[in-house]
Amino acid sequence: MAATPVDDHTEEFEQLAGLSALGVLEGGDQARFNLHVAQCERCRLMVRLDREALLKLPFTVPEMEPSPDFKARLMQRAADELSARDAGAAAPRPGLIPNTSSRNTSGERGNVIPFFRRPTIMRSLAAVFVVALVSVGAFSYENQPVAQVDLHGDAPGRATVVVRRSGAAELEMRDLPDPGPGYVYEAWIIAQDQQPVAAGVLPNGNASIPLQGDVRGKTVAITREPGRVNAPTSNPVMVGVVQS
Amino acid sequence: MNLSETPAADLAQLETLYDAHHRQAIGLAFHMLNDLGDAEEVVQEVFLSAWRSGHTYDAARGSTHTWILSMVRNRSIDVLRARRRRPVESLAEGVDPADPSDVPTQAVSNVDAESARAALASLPPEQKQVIELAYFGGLSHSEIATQLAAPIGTVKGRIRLGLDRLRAAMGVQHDVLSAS
Repeated sequence: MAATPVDDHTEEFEQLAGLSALGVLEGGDQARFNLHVAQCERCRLMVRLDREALLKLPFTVPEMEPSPDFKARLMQRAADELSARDAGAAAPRPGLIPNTSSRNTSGERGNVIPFFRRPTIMRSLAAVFVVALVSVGAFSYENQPVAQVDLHGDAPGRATVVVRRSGAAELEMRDLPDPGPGYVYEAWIIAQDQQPVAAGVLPNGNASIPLQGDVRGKTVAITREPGRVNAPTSNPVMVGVVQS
Repeated sequence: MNLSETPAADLAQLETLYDAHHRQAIGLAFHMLNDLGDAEEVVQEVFLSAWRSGHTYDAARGSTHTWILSMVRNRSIDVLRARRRRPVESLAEGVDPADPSDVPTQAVSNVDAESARAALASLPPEQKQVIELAYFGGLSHSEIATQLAAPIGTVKGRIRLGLDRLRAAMGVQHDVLSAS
């Protein structure tokens, strides 16, 4: 089986592969390695084999007995969880409980009731109001920014990913140089050990786009491309990791 | 939750899982945390998590053992990082294998504590040291460099060389990479 490295493969990436397998890769190195490994078969294989070897390290540590009551405490926790589960299953669903307080006991059936006193209409209006209020509130809540990540690279200017509570994310670029005639900037989302996924195209160095995909826990990179492409053809001008 | 119909059977599944794996799990957590209370807390959460997700003991599947130990290691590193107050991504959320079948079966079937110890002991001391600090201590290469007062490049290099030797000593398809 061949393990083909890509053109930009260096000895340093093999060092980063070891750190990745150990789960201790940091910030900028993590972003660079994620981008590289997505395209480098040799590094992917190296990470996998390193992990396979590391899985045996726990067996180098002596076995040990816990406190005498540890098992009893564990089993009690489990028993408590089962009791809670059973209690939850047996409880009546709130919607099935008869609501006696809302019954009409005034003897007004058949009489003309003013519009504003008709319980059905008022309840409907109240429900619409509450739903609208909740929807507006929920939209506002979900739209709150929860993370802002600056991308880094050799290019001048600034590129920032803003992540909202809903998981939606935008990429904003300011003062990057014009990509040149026929060229665009393209954004990529890269999950660990995965190929880059196209996330949107920016026509110039001052533009914003919604990123197409979940960026949480992934690397975001920007490359300069001759139009929209399905896989990056150049090294990133900006890159950063969005923590999950 | 993938539990059986009766509470007694559910608890029996957990007990069997615990009896099969707890000594190694406690040993690993204690080795990393150096505190029995913290180690027991980590191991308790790991067993409950494994039990909730429906993992049962199967003597023919060593992968469950390796999976549990991976979770113990990841959660222990989270505790270590919390002690150091370092805001990094949680390993417990990000790296735990979703299922024992994700763990390479070759690593599991060949598990032999003596051979693993011999492989680790065969490394030059400076390579063994950095791998242990990273694996059991959850330290990044820059933190190791600071701790050892060594250049970062030296630490990265030692880790790479150490992992190469470790793979060779454990017989983990070393020739595939060295041949390419």
